[in-house]
Amino acid sequence: MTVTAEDRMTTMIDARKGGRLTPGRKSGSARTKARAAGILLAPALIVLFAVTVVPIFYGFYLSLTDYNPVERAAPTFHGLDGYIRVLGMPAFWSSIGITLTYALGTLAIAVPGSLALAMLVNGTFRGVKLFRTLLYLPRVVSLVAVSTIWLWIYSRDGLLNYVLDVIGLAPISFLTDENTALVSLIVMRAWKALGGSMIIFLAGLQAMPRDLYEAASIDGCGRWASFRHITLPLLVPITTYVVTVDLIYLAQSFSEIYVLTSGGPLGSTTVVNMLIYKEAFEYFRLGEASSMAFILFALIFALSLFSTRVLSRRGVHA
Amino acid sequence: MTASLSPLAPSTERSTPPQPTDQQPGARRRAPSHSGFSAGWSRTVIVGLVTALLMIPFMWMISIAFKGPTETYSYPPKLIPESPTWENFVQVWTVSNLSVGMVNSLIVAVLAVAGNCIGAVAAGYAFAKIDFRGSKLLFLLVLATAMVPAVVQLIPLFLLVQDVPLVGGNDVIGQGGTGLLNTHLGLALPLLIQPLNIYLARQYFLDMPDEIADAGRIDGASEFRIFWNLYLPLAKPIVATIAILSFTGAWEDFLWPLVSTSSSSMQTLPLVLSSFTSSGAVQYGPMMASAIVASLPVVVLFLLTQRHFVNGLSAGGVKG
Amino acid sequence: MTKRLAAAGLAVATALTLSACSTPAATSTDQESTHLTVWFPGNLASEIEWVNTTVVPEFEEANEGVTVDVEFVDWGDLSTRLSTAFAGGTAPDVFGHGNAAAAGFADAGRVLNLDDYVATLDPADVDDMVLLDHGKVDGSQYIVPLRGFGQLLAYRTDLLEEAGIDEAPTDWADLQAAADKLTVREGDQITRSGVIITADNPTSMSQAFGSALFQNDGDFLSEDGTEVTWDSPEAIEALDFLVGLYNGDDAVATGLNEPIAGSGAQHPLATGRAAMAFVDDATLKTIYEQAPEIAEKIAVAPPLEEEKQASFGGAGNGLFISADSKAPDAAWEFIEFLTSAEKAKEYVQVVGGIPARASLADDADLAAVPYIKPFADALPYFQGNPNVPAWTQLRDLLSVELEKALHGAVSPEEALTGSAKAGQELLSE
Repeated sequence: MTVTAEDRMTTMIDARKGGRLTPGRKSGSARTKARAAGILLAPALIVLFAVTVVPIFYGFYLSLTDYNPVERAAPTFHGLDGYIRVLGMPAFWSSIGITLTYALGTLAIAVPGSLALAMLVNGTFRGVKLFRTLLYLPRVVSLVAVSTIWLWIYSRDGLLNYVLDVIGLAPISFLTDENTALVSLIVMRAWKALGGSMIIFLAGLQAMPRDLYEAASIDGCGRWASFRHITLPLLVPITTYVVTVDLIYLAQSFSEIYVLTSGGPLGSTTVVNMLIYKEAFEYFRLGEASSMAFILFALIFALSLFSTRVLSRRGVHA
Repeated sequence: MTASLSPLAPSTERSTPPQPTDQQPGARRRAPSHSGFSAGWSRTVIVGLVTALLMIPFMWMISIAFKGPTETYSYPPKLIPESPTWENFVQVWTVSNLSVGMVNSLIVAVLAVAGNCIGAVAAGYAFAKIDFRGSKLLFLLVLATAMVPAVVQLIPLFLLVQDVPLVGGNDVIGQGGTGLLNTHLGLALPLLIQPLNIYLARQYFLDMPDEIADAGRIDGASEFRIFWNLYLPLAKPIVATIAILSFTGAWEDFLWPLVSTSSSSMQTLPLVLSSFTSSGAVQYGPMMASAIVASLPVVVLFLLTQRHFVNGLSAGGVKG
Repeated sequence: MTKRLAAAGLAVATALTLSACSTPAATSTDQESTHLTVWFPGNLASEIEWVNTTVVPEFEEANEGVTVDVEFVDWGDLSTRLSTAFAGGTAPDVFGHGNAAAAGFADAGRVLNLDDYVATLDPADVDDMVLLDHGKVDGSQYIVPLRGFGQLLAYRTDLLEEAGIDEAPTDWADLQAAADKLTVREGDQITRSGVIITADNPTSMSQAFGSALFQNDGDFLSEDGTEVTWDSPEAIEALDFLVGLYNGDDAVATGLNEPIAGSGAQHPLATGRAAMAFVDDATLKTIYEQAPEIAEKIAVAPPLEEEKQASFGGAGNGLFISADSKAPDAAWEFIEFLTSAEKAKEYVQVVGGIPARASLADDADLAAVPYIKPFADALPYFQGNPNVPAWTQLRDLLSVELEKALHGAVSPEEALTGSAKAGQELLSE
């Protein structure tokens, strides 16, 4: 472990050599890196800036006004009034709670479920391509059509109540009872989300280093142990992605809830986005709708940061 | 150039066991996590059962697509239609503009795939593998744009696209015409770069070892070459995934085409089919048939990209 | 490099933002040919076909130099499209919407006052177009209704016969008594409702409440539209009656929040889960389409009469002319063409609903249609929502509380007085 003088000499010579080839190596490298990053980022950032960032800032400005697209009058700036009004609505707070329950409940089923599916179809065996495609199908099919099918599955004379009837159980009012409606929505939505997350996990699993597993199996690690100590930690970045992305989508859910319960019964499935749509496109109060949307944005942002932190800590400890 | 990168070769290949090129179930050298299944069949049965269970709602969709209006929701439910009919598919097939909608959707989707596979992948790489000041913050901002509900952006985006200068009859300051509204490019604009795809690419590249880049840098390869020649070939599964995701995203996009198209010749598939899939409709058979028809191209694409997953397999062992 | 990029991006964005804030200039009009853009609400295949293959060609032939481009916009997307079109100044010349939207658009100056155009019609025609009055805001015509809709009591003749009831109910006591006889229970569960109201969602609950309210000679608002009156004693009595159908030991109904409108073969009347049901014409039409055999056993009763004979209904969808239209005269020609006796008849034959002309109530072809005739006959008794700009918000305030009351979570009086107070505040704003 001792570093000999000779070693130090060679290192210095190497460094000198390097220095001559690429002058000012340390800082120069930082500059080339920055330039490379600039070139690689430019196309994406320019487009994003023009078609997303600018509209968002304009939308933020509108959230500070009483903008109504139907009115001809220019929007009047009223500062935080819209936010104060929205935060004073009990219906808004209850919709926040429902949105959280819906999003987190769906995640709790869909994330482990899709990881399990991905592991099942990661490998080569008869029919694997067919299974992957079939499992991905729900992700591809129109959400409205899928919701309509589930509306029937859950209905009084639908598939589930038929099964309950056949096995001699009392019917359940899945969607029309305020105690079961949200759970029923979560189950449907998790089903829809499984395939999409599955292929993300699958892509992650495909990049797993095979030799690590081989080493683990030589060391006598069981399959659970290698899953726990190799797969899971290595999947942390992909899992973070899946959780964040699902969270972003789920927190903005609208159409499936509109089809299945329209936010009822007794408002038990009214998520924030339903209120936003109502404000924006039923009452045309776009200013207030934007205020709601930015509060929802803050919530999604905070949740994503939180889940990223939690997951990456898990990754380190695992 | 390639020769000077030769010291890298061992580090990428060293840990990669030779992969089976055929689909023989009995082929060895699969990841040991499946080694419990000696033959392909037992696994096929298990996965088949799980798939069948999850397919139940889907099977009913197909069933209803083949049922006439009087049989749609008969009780007790019957999976196999008593008098199966193609009528619903005929109705969807003969809807005016179906082919126009398909072509428009395809053009928009291809633009979206190209934009994301190039722009989003490159950006994701830069965020993951190149240290530069403000990288984390910039990335967070990009990610944050994906979290703002669409309602907020709809009208501002509409006004922006309407006022793009010098196109669609607009003058230099973007007045007088309709700008990029009702054009393919206008339809594709908000889909060209999806922040979540940048995110996905970043997560994937984060997972790849830094040693590749370090070795490349020592070898004097430019940052761009390191990305293009070293990392990108190993990132095929994620490029394929992003292709699928951006295609699907464009294929099912509804709100933006809804407000930004004003002629039937520019309508995308979801708009053309909205008379069947809309929430208010009661035409269950045609609705399910149209949902199936609309999803077919995505399924085809998924099947095509499966090849890259297999390719990805053989490049999968880079870490070690 | 990055700095330069950022600067360039900022410049582009600033230019875009600046131009986005100004309104686009008027589009040029061609003197010789007039082009009309028309948005129709809905997604009915038969309606789309009729408009595209009959209405437009015939109209274009009759009006040389006028071309019409019709687009169908699903009800759920209509407001979204209109709001971006209004914001961008690209609204179509003619657009369809529900009658309830008239007051809001008129108030914002987005739609033309049509009084002068209506004045050019033959007075006999105006008398015949019975729904026109429903499309007036503060006495002025803003929307021309294309058809009407309404809610009536439908019942299964076979089940009533089975229970020994030979006449359809005519008032609340009748209804209650018949429903008692018709209700089937298993333990404490109702397996067949005696009667159900439209209770898919809070909005339809407010319509069911409207029927009872009108029958009890109450109304949502005072005649001048400045005062909330849905907490009157008549209103509380009306809600009390509806709540009694679903709650307590003598409940005769179940299935609140079940989606039944437009459910066709799944409608409780068709499945036999309800013996009587308040339905609108469109719902009955889908039952006829999806369960034709059972539909033959369904009859429709005239509106109930408690204090007065009435039911919820009135003008359905109609057509507006955008205030920004460059060709309002041609737009009116189009509307007039669609409301002619001939086209008004074709329209309900294709779409269903109540014909917009009184003379059509006795038309032999329409009288033969079982889901049109009873509703057309009941037209004089239909009463609708008040035409005030804030109505959708007022209705939502009310219907949330109605839902709670129907579920037995609050008393009818609490529901109505509480929501009336909030509604009055909104109305006075």
